[in-house]
Amino acid sequence: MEAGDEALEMVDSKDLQQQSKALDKLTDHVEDRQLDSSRVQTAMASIYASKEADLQAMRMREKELAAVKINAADIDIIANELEVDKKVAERTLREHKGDAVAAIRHLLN
Amino acid sequence: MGASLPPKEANLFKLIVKSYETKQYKKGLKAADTILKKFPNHGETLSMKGLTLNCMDRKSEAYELVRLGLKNDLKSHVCWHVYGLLYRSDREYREAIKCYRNALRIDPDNIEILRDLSLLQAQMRDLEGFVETRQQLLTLKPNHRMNWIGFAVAHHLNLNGSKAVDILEAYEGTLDDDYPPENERCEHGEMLLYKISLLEECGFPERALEELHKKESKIVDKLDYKEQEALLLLKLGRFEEGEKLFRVLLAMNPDNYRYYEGLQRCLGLYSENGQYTADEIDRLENLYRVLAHQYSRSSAVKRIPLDFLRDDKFREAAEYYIRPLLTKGVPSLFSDLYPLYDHPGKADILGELVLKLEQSLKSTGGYPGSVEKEPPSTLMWTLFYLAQHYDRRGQYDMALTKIDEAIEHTPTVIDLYCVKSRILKHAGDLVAAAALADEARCMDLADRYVNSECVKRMLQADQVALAEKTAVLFTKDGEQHNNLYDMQCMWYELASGESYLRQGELGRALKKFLAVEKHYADITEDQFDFHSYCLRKMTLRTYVEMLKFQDRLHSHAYFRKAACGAIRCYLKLYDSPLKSASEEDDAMSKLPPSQKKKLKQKLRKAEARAKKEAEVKIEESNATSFAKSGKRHVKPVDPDPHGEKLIQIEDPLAEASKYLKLLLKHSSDCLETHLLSFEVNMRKQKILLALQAIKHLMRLDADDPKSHLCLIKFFHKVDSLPTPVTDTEKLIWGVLEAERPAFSQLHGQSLIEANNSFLEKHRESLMHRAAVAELLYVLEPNKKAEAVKLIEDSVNDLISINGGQGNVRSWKLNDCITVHKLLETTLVDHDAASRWKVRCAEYFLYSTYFRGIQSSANNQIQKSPANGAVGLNASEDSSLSSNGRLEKLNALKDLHI
Repeated sequence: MEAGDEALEMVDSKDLQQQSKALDKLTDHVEDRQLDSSRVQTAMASIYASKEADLQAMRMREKELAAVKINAADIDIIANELEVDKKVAERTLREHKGDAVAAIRHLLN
Repeated sequence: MGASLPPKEANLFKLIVKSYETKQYKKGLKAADTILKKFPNHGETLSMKGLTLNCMDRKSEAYELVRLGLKNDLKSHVCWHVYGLLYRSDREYREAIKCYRNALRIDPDNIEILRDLSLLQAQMRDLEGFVETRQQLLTLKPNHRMNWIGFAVAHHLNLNGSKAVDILEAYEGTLDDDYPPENERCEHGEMLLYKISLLEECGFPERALEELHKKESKIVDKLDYKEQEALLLLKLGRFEEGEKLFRVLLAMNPDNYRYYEGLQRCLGLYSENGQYTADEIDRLENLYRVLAHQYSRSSAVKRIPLDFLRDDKFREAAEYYIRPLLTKGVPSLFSDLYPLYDHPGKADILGELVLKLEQSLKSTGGYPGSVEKEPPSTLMWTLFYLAQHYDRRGQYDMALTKIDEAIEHTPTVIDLYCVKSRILKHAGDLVAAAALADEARCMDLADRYVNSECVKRMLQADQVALAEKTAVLFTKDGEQHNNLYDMQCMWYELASGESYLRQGELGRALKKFLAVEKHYADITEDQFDFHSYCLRKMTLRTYVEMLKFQDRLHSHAYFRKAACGAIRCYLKLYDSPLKSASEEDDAMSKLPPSQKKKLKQKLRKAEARAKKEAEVKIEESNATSFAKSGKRHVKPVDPDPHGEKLIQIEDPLAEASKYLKLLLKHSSDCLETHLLSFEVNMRKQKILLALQAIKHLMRLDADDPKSHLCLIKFFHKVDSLPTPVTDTEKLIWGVLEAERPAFSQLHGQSLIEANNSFLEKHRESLMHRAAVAELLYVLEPNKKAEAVKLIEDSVNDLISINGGQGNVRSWKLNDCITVHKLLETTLVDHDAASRWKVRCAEYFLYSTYFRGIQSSANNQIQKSPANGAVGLNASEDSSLSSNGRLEKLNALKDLHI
């Protein structure tokens, strides 16, 4: 029984190796060609330039929202009654300046 | 990795990793054990051992070891990475992402972990995260092609197409002029076509066309190049050039409908809704006459004019189209022409036309005005067409006459029986339809399509056991019924689930519906491998298309049906909970104590026996499968094959909500979604969510009787609510106050008045009257008699059909069944219900539900066996043996499958 098991195991691993090889062939795993690195540097620089401005605008909006005063109980009611995530409830509430009715009506649409 | 180990063990550790990657798990395990003998607490080794065991199907040990390893070495990125991989293998992607993030906190620049993370982010559609990770990868290794492409695709998915174009252009800037080398031409061409499609998507068709022309020599896919060029020219309004190009494409493939459409667009002769002026029709006719001359072998060029021609010209063209196909004997002719039945007037013309052919064939043996004799089969196919024609128009009597004539003419054509079965189904005799389909099946036991059609009919007739046996004839040996699940055979699961639901077997129904839901989850899973594969292979357009398809996956009709079915099951479970332990106790409490004890013992013993038997069975099946495949790959046996556990849930509405959420997200334009949402949320007392359902129903179709029902029921309920006390109630009240004016139906009138004006608006329609009657009873329960009268006073108008013989009435069978149920169970007026039944039996002669005189429910004996009514009344098993062929088939099965 032991020997049989062992043999089976051998077949198994050989089988698997073959499978793995076949798979590699199929997916044709080749290392990427190296690109010219000096050209790469200039290309990279042009891409990153515009990113900063977007980030800045996003941060401003977040700050604004965080300053809105809201009633914590409203968050729970909205989350519970509309079965939405608390984070969504809170954010919508902030976006509607803490007006719970307006926030709910927005979520209903 | 393995840094804290002495050199010998460190090498062994490397061996573990290598063995894992090459799938030599046994070897890796040995190495791990050797290290652990000396350093039993080495975290990374413990983790790797766990990961290895995970691949050997020893899940629980794996988790234990990986967790222990992590505990011993919290500062190791390897341990966190392994933990993430373990979660990933179990599809717990959110947990896996957390683990990868922890790993990256320790080793922020680890490329492998970043790559794994990016795959998960693409899978979970964390698109911002995906962009970020892809950017990090590019920053770390900017001279790898795949990182540039990945970054661009990430931006595209994150709805920033122009950024993606910038990146691809920057990438092109890094290439030499003589790029690409011979072996990368296909990939590079794909990348260019992807970039061009991006440019078009971002609203720069000129740039796209310019780029296309500039890169012509580098684009390998020439057909796609031409198609893109033609479409871009069209988009830019350069019609003359576009026309030329579409004609070139047509010369290559004159059966491609998109080329014809493009050509028509270039000529200014295309309208989305198929409506054209007389002048346009003339020009189109000329166009297609020339094209038909050019491409005489194309069938598209002959078929398309039927869509735009009208009246006599249509008649002429249709006859010219139909004649040779009837002579040739094309069974799909009716399906081909089916869409024309929605065009005004064309159905009548087609009917007249084919009737004329039939008469001529019968009297002269040839087509009218032709001296040539037709082969006898032409008449049979003509009758076959006419049967389907009458079926489509609801004239089931005529349809059956024609199909019977055809069967008498040539009794050996299977299609005739299939169509007859379909007609009977439409006419409402599901049992006879199933029997006929079975007869068709027996005529060719090797035809999978006929077999499937038969299974479907059986399920529609609620013969589930028989259907199962029939379906299994075409599955692989051994696995039998499970095979249908493994093959994701969803039409079968849906039809079977619907049937169980009709029969009130909710557990089995849920089992089937949830199986379909599972298939969809699996399809979502299946995309995982493509995130890395497609980027490497540069099949970018197909990749993005596949992702978009996956995003809409759950709006597919099969999923919708399954989710709706499951929700209905849960609603039923909620409305009439299981007769559970308490009821059984009731029955038992009536017995004297001594007997009670005995009975309990008996039950316990029986249970134990059943359990043992089940275990033995599982072992046996494992043993056989082991013997057969010679491998230890054992399939887990389903512990709950009949869904008994599925119905023993605490909160059916919470389960229903799970599927409802998916429907709301993916099928929000379906009336059914919001009808179910209304039902679920009213039961859950979630007033606001019910309001949301109402709002959607009004948006989609305020005139639908079901929408109206929900609207009035909702405000009736709202009006009966107590005055608000708690904060929650006050808030809900505030929203209702603000929303109510938006419902114009309720302006300045009470609910009763609103119900009445709805009736005035739709006085002629049966279903609208039924809805009004139901509400009348809800609003004023003392007016039940009036409600019943409202329904009974409905008139089933005759709709005359020009040209055809006979008339059709306006009521639909299913509607009448619904009304019957309304009278029986909602209004609870049994007399009215039986009066309704008698009345409908006259309208629907073939309906088994109303026991019409022609239906199999009424006269099994009169029908000849050739019509398949044999054994209809017999139990499923006996009808199985009565056709006697199933057993024989079992023996034959190996031969033809």
